[in-house]
Amino acid sequence: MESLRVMVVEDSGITSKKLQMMLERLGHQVVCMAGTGTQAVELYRQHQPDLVTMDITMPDMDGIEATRRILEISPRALILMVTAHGQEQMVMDAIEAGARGYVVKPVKEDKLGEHITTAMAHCGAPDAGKPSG
Amino acid sequence: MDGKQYLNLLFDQVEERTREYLRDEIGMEVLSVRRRVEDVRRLGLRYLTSLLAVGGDLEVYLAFTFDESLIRKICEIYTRDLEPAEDDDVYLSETAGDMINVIVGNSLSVMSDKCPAVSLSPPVFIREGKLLTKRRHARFLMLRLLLDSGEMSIFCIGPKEIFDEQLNYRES
Repeated sequence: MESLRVMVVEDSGITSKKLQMMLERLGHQVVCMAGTGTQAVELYRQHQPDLVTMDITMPDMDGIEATRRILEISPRALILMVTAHGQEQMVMDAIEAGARGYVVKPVKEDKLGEHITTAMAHCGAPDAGKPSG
Repeated sequence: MDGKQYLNLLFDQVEERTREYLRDEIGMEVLSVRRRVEDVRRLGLRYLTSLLAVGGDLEVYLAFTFDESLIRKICEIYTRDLEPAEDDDVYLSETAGDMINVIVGNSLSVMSDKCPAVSLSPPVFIREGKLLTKRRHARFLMLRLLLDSGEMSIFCIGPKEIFDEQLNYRES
């Protein structure tokens, strides 16, 4: 799999670190980590990562709103929801907001890798993180 | 299906998924479970409690409250691959927060057709065995789980009289 520059958005420090370790074992590079939706939007502008893993339930702005805002910056952004919320409606909301995939916690490394591969195949990453215009 | 039935369905799921989580993610077997409805004014919390609000079509709070020995053991196993934290308390809280978030979040998957619009708050934490006190007697749905390393309880608390909208504990 091609190596991607990844931003992890997650309010739990432990889960962030676990995701970082899994992503690095899968051959990717974690370039930044955000703990809130607002921070995610700011860091996305700065780093323009190839892939974003996005939690939904976070303080201040939730992951679905953060996804919408990142897609305003870069309509081809590759965003994968990584969340415990298992409701169908939440999955639909995330996909409607522009997420390219949905991984339910607890995250397993092989599943994460499969979802990244599928999402990349659908959108032709890794240039997905480049800004529009 | 009425509110009470939704609540019982949610609580059944939470019980099942708590057993699964402890077994599959942590490697601990639940030795016994006691489930009951408590009619009380005061609810005693253990060493560390994680609590979140389920909003939308269901309006309740769920709390996981742990003996110190148990949450320390769960944390030790859950974080064994990570660098040690500068502050142990951060890992303890995050372990309790991740656990309630995953279990309750996953439990909502079976309620998709019955309660489509349900939201979750980020977890908050209560330390050192406080008492939750209500102004009048209230019913708390409670599960008490016994494991080798200690006990934990799960409370389903509603309606929203004990905490304000920001989940700040209301002193009575």
